[in-house]
Amino acid sequence: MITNAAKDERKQREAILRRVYEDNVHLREPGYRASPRGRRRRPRARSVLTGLVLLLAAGAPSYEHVASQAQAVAVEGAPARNVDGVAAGLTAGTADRIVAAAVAPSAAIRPPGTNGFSAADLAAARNASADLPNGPMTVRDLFGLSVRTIVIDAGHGGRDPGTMGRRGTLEKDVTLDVARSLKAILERNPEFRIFLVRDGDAFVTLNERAAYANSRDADLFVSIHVNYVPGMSKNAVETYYFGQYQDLRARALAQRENQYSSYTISEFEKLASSMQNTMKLQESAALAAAIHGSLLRNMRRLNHVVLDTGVRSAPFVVLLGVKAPSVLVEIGNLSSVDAEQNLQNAEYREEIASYLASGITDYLNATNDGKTHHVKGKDGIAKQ
Amino acid sequence: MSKAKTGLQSSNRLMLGIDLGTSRSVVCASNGERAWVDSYVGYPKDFVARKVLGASVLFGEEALNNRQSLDLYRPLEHGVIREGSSKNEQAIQDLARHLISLVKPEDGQSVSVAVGVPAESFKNNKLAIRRCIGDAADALIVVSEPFAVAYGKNLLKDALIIDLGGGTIDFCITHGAMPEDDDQRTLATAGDYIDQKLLEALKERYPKSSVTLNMARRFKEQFSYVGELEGGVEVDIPVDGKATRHDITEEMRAACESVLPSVIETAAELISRSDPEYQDVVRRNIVLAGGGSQVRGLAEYIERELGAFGPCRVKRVDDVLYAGAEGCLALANDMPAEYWKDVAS
Repeated sequence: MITNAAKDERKQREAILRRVYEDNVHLREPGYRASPRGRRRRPRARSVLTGLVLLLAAGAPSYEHVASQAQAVAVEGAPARNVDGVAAGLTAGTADRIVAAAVAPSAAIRPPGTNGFSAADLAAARNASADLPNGPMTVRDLFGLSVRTIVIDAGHGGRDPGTMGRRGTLEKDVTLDVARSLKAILERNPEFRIFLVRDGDAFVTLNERAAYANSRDADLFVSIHVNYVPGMSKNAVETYYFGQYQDLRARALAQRENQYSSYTISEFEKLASSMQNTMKLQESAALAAAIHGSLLRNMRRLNHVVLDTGVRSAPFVVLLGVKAPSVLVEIGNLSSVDAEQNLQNAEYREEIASYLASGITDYLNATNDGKTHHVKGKDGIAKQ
Repeated sequence: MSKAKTGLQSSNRLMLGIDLGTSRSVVCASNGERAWVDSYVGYPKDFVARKVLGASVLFGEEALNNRQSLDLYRPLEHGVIREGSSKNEQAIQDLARHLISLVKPEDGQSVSVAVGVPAESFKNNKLAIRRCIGDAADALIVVSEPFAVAYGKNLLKDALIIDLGGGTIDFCITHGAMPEDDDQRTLATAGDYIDQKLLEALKERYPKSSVTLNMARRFKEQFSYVGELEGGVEVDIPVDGKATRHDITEEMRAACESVLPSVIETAAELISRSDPEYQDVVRRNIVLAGGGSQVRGLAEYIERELGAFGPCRVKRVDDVLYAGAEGCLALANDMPAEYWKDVAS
């Protein structure tokens, strides 16, 4: 006779085995959302239905509006770069419009059954989405957008040395070395194309950096920097995406990093207005959170004392001009003697690069469960 | 290399559990065979070496003993494939094939493998393992090493597993379900780090003595301890070619204890994150596995340090060497046949 305890244990093990299996299936079919070149998946009716139901669940203005948008997209038919799955025929702008609709709250949702789809179709769509996580959904999640081209920006360079530690460590040298290592690590995945904005000690203005990223059709842009916080003796990592500054220290940092911008005021305003782009904001925040989480987790794991000042937004010009999701990472604090000593060590710099790579991988692997999307700083830094 | 047989039945599908370790790799099979090998892979340096050795690749102690004639690889670092060299990937492939051959699959028998990896392995590390071992097996799953220990030892509820390996120390807290990322931790300061610390300390204290990393590792495996030790630790180290007795008691203690603050901190943090109602239960159910668990005085040290948070009990798995691979094998054996189809290599 099988006891209840034995039954419970058996169920427990079955559930565990299923999770192991699912994790491995996911691993086998990498969640980079990137199909190998030339093997883009075609949109499937079930995916389309699932996407539409999710749009409804997210509060779309009306089902018909979304459906008509999708139909219009199919007619437009111009394949966008780096898209896959349901969005294979979307242009970037259309995708944004649809998503803007998807995230806007509305009371005008029409009940299923009045939209041209059969009850069976809707039931299938509901079943398809029944197991999906309930967390916040981003544009990338919704349309399965893929990432193929990553542009890495080593901060400063040439006549702009960036900050300098007490032992003479220059920010521009550290950022270049980390950027090169990061490129080497990411290039091990043949699905990625990786570009460095600068691969030497060259001076590049901020808008040239942005223009370079755009010319390469970047899907992600990661700008690497090192901080210097006067009076702060501990190491700290910070990760930023473009937005309003949240405190005076962030503003001061942005002012310093924006020193070599050559945008005119009108260009700046035009670019700033483009930041209403929902996808870029969502994805930049998610990427920043994933990178920050990886940096912090791994640095602490190796006994490096490091303050967590969290993921923040600040008006960095270099992030503004890039069309793709973009972040600026301060990988350390040169006012800390220990941090400077570490950053002088090539192995340490390579470790940092691997943490950045891991963060990017986490971001690409993240499902819509929000796990990597909400990293908050615990330690904080005193405002200046 | 060592082999043993546990007396289980064989079938058309051979299930394997593999613990691919930084210092030792272990395999257990559903046909009852099990074996381990030091994680060294050596390739003859030239035609002459190949002719002398009579093989194109050597493994484990045999490779180590013939290292002067070999390009020697220890292809795992911090529990994952050492990056930067395709030769390391080749070495992993050859090591996996060798491990599989040690448990003697029958001709035509399909081989399904569960491989343990560090708890917080990055996805690209898991993919690399999959890429390297996939060719040698018909189907493959990758699973967190400490969780495999928990599964094999039926410690699936309210236990903290600490798997102390050569490349990593892995933590996994169980709560009756598959552990999430937050339930697992990996520290990169483990057995290899202790070897390095010991080597540095010995070179500093005995600058004229000829000591190598391999010797430091051997000393650690024989004499490691933390806390207090009755008597001392003395070893032979050559000085100007002559074997000379050296007292390394204090250096051994300092090296072994160098990793413990982060172990205590990580264990305390993981327990504090678990359900408050069960934290006491977990603290009384801490289980050590892996080669590092054999360090004398370790369980008592952890009990004493974590005792500050409440009553604490630490025990060690009885079969330290095989616990990880046996856990992987248990998972492989229990995995429904239809699941294997989707993870075919």
